[in-house]
Amino acid sequence: MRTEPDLIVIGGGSAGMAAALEAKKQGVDRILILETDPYLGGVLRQCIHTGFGLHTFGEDLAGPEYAARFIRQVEEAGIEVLLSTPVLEVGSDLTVRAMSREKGYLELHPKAVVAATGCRERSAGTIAIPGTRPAGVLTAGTAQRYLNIEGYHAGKRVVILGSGDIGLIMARRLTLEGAKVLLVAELMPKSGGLKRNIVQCLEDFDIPLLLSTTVVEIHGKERVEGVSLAPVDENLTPILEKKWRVDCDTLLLSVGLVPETELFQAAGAPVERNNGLRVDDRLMTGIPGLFACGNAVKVHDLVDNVTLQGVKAGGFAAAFIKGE
Amino acid sequence: MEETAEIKKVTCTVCPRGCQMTVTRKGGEITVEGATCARGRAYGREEMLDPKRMITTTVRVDPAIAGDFLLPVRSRTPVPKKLLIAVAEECRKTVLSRRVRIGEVVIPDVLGCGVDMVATADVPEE
Repeated sequence: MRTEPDLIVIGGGSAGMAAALEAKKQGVDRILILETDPYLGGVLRQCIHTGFGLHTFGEDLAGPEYAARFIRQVEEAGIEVLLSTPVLEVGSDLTVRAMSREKGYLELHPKAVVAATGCRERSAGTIAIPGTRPAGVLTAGTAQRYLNIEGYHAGKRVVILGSGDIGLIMARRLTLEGAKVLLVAELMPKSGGLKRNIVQCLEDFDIPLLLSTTVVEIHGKERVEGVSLAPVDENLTPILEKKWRVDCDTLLLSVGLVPETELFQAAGAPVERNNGLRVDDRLMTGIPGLFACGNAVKVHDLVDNVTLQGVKAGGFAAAFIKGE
Repeated sequence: MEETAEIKKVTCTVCPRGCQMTVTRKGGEITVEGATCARGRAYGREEMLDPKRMITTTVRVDPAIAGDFLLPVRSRTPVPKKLLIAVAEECRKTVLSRRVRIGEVVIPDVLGCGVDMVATADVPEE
């Protein structure tokens, strides 16, 4: 890019694409989307199940289909995109430093930035399960990426800890691919997943959902050989006298999502307790000209709502650039 | 002699609300209680007669065409629930030898159930 962009959108998922499109519509010409992955669409690319777009399009779309509609609009609008371009640093003066596979090191000075970096999964390290650390313990989203994009199977006998929607979706997906999903254990007395997912992903395949139950130990040295489970009391403390062992080769974790905001925290942007960027009613963060939307603010249940917030952030960023 | 009724508890999956319904079949008649919309009532009826589900999975593409790209696919409309695993197996056995665009048919009339499997992404140009 010869001339400096007016607006840089960090993250080319559903939030970032919506923000860029809206800013373009409102008259911002020089927009650049920076995306770490080699493709636009963010996590939708691996969410091959349906259930997307009921609000936005009135249709029940698969994740890649929902993403494709926005990718086409971004192309048609002539918005510049750099793929395989992780952002290294954002300054409090909005200087953006990035490393592009195609263009090398970049230092850019936009008038406004939209943070659309999405969220990440809580991993094994953050939930402190006792036992060894063999291969075969991974987050549900990682297993989803391996299976749906790269074509690798996570394992053959699987226990899932946590009944968030990604865990439920993966229980079905792995079953369809020939794996045996032995059970889903949920620490809380109630599942955090949508009812329709409990029906379609567990009950349809007779996969037991054990509430008020957690994994208390992981067994195996090189590879997972089993896990020990135990019920928990009303204080969520495991009742170890009642623990039992299940032989499995894989433990998937679906234990929550965390907004991905460290890049902006380093610039001095304050976050809420959920690690999401603190924003005002114009979706501006604590740094003037830095706007935020989507799962970098708060983890959303529906992509349609992420898109809506992206549109708003793009509009507010456009107004800021035009000095309104 | 009075006919015995067949009763099914059904959680509706039409939308995220997840209505709890009771479906009763007595003789030739099916009644649905607990649904809050017409689509829900239709779903309840179908759950008694022949439950159906959308299925999504992936299909391999000839590496000469698209490297290691996996093509995501879905059924155009729901398929009989009892065929889900078999449809997934059929897709796993399939290797696509042509480039398709999003929305194009990948496997027509999969397992003769009357439903096409369609691509939910473009096969990329290498």
